[in-house]
Amino acid sequence: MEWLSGGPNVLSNYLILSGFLFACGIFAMVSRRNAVGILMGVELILNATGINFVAFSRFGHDKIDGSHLDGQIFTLFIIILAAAEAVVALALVLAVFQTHKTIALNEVDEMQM
Amino acid sequence: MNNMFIYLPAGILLVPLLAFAVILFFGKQLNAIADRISIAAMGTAFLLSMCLFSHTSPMGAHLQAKPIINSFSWINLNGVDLQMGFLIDQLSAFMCCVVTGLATIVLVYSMFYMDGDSMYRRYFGFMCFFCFAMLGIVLSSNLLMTYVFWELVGLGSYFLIGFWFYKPVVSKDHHYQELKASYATGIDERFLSPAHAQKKAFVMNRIGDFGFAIGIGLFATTILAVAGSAEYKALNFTNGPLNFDTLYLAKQKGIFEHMTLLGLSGNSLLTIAGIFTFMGAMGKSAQFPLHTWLPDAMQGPTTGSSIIHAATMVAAGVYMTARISPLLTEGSLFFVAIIGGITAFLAATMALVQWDIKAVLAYSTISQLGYMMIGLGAGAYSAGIAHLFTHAIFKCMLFLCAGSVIHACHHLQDMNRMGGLKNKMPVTYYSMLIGTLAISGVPFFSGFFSKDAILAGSLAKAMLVGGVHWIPFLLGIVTAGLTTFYMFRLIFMTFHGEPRDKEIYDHAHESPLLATVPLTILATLCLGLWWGGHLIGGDIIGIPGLTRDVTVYELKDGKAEAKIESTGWLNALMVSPVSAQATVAPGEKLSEAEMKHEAEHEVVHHSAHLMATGLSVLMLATGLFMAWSMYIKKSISPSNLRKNPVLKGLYDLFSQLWYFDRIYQDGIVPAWKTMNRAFWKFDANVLDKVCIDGWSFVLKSIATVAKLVDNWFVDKCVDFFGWATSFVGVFARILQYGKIQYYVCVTFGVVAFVLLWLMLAMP
Repeated sequence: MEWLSGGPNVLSNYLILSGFLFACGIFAMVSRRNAVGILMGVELILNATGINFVAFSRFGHDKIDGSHLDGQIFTLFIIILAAAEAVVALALVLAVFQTHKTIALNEVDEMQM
Repeated sequence: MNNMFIYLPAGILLVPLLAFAVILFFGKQLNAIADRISIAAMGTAFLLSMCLFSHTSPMGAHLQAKPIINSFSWINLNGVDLQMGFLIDQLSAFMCCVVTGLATIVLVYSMFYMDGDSMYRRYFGFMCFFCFAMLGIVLSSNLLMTYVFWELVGLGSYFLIGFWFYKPVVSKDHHYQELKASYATGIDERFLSPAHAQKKAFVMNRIGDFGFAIGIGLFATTILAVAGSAEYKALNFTNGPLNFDTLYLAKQKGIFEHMTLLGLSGNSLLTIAGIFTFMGAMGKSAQFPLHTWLPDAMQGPTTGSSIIHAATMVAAGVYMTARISPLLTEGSLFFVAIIGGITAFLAATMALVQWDIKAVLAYSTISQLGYMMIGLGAGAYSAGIAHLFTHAIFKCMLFLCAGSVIHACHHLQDMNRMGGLKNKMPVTYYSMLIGTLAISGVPFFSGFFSKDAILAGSLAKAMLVGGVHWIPFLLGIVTAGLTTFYMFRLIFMTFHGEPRDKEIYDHAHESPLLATVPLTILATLCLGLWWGGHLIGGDIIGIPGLTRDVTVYELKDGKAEAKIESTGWLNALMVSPVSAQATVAPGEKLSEAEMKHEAEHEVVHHSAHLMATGLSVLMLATGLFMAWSMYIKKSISPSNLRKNPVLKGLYDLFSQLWYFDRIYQDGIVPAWKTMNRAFWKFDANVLDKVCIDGWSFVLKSIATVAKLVDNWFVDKCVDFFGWATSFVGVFARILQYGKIQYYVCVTFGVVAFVLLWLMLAMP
């Protein structure tokens, strides 16, 4: 039980958290019928990577001189990118709906209707 | 200087062709002057020929006269070099002069004779074409070129015989039926018209040409057969296998001894080749049995006949025989002589009983051609050639005179209705008389000189060799008498006695200058003195310059000695190629044995000459006497003679032309047609049904089998590939699930697996 000896505020705990979130996101992506639900899973995955970045900014071994904030800055970017990507994804969902008349992606398995 | 022997003959040959082309293409515009164009062309050709002749005659001065040959390679197949070119020696040069000179004179005469004809310019065009073809034969250096122009001459003759092709068959031609004699027999009138006659002439020529081609082939084959050998190379032939110099050289060097074909060899094969080649001359020169086309050819214009059937085309056969005479063995020479003899005799008998002026002259031509062949066959080369030339001139003139008479009598050709025209047409009468004297062989006329020489040569041959060689001579002698008889019969019936048809006599008049001047010119040429003619030995009447000196060998005390003797220039010039190829250079002496051989021959020749002359004059007198007593004195009447059964039988035989026409028309032609029909039936029923249709059936079955294979095998293979693809697709399709979640799972799984593997693999 080596990983418990460092106390509660140790890097690996945060990584486990982000890993758990990642798995939830994967699960959500894989098990949803609804396209928007799948997109929520994508959001979860992206947030998991955000937590990963913040954790590394706090506990990472290679710090750039005088700056601990790289990871956090990155996380801001990721949040914005996630938003932009969600917009694009929703546009795709809209397009899919227009052709297939449904957003239940288990029914969208062919290129043509 | 050699160039002259290229350009002069080229000019002689091509100028008439050019005239023909001009008349052909521009005839419409030039309508009136077509005749003048042709006369100008032939006149130019004549001048060129005279120029050529003057350049060649020095060649004949000594024994070894080689002809000058200029030729180019026309077709060269794999070493078989077929050439085209000119062979110039005294013979061809003089022949050119004769052909072009006679053509010019005849064309001038034709301006009178063909005047008013609807196809006037066509006649002159065809005459020029014909002369071009004839000159081609004369100047050719090569048997193949001869053959080509041989055919062209036949074509020219075809055009000219069938000139009035629109005329109906004689049995349906009212004009003809009015003008013919009441007892006319002989040619079947249902099959006599210019169209029929031209066809007959051409087909019979072709039959002869069949033999000619075989003969040429045999000669060519032999030369080509030895072409690879060292012997051949040693001879250094520069020209192809069919050139005359090649052939002469081959004969001289004995290459023909090596011929073998179909079991025959050497001499016998050469004889056969010679006979076949002579068949061409038989067709062209109307020898027995291919003689029946010539009398039919009288359907054409008389002036056309005078050139074609008197002077040139029929002489082409004789000319060709003369050219190949070095290649003829004793056997083929005898064949030539015997055919000539038979022809001469048969034709003379047929001429005895004709009612038509032109027919008499036609049979006379056939007969005289037979004479020429007798001469060539007996080895009297220069005599045969001399007769060719003298005959050309006097026969041409006789035809023109006949044309003049026919024209004056308004197209009447029946001698029974003429008579007493002597006073009305003096120039024609005297010209015709001179021609008749010439053809009968009266001394001091040209015909005597040549005919006598032929008979002498034939007799000498008979005396030297004996046996069956007497036949040509005997036939020739008898024919001499017959010739005199029928020619004088013609003169007496036409010009002498009381006019039998008053109307015709009243309307008859002498022809204009355009006709009489040519006649006079030709009549002058019929006199003996121009030909260096002399009576017996020495020159009694010989104009200086017209006799030449030749070396002759005489036997004195058993030894042979050379002696210089003078003889006619024609005799001296027309050196046989055989002697010209002799291995004697000029000035060189012959060996003792050769000289003795020559001298012995000379002795025989001399005595033969005397005997022959005497006999021919005797026959002449007999014939003249018979004709005179039958037609002038009327002491013997022809109708009385016909009462005698034997003579009546003979008369029927002769007037039915020895039934040759009947045999050909009613026997051979229908048989041939039946054979044709049998072949056609075979072709349609057997070949077409069995071969063509059968073959198509075979092909169709093959096609059906191919179709089955195609459907059941090839197509299945193609289908298999399609099935294989879809089978693989069944499994490959699984990857293309289409569901996003599935793709995500797979992606995540693979990435996880890779990460795990990397983590565990890294130290």
